[in-house]
Amino acid sequence: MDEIRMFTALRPAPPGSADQIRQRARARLDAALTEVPASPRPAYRVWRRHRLVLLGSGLAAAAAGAAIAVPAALPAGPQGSFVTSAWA
Amino acid sequence: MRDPGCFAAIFDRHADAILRYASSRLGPEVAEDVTAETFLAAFRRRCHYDTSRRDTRPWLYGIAARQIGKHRRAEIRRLRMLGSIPPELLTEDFSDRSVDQVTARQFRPQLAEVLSGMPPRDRELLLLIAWAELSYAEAADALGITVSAVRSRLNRIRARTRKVLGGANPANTERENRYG
Repeated sequence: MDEIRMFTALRPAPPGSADQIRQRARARLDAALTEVPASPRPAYRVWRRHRLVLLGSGLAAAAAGAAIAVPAALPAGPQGSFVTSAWA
Repeated sequence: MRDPGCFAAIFDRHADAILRYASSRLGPEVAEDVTAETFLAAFRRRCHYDTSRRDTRPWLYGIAARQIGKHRRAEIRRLRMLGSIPPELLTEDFSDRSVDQVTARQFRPQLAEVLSGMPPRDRELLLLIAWAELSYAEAADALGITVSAVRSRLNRIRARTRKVLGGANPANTERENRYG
């Protein structure tokens, strides 16, 4: 005999009031379903939000990069670079 | 599946099985909560349902298993009591007087001890197969593991059971005693 099958001997009997329990569970489910939106948030809305976040992050990263790269690329004169004179 | 109306049909089709399984594991009082929560969780997660699946049953059992896992302490207490429950309260078919079944009944206290002492994920798998009567493939699907992992875990459970029952398959011992 397979040891796994021996465990079926431990299985308790199904509840005598299974129909009533099922009906109560169904009623609870129905009540909960009326509170839940009929359909979940459409996928395109989720994607649109993700796209906005990505776009915003990209713009911020590009601005930060430009702020560092552009002054570094400007020619420096005897009084320093454009940036150092601006700071002064 | 994605329509609430269709979901009611899924409840009607599978609620009895889920309720029976939950009741076996936690008793009828908690089974009502677990059944309602299982189908509500399934409804909320219906967008993640893989429509290429042939059957919703393993998916629902997987959700039910997670709901049952929230009542682990209550389950352990119940499992420890199983060894002393009168046989007539078990679902055993008493018309089945085969040596195997009679032997299994004799070892109920030890089997209950094995069941309550094993790691939760092994117990989950074992009971999906022994009590919910899922196939290996269905149990693998329900738990999100491979069929080879199912076989491996079941072999570990067999070895552990043999050890607790005295290092031998009691059914074989019974046969040896009976047939010399």
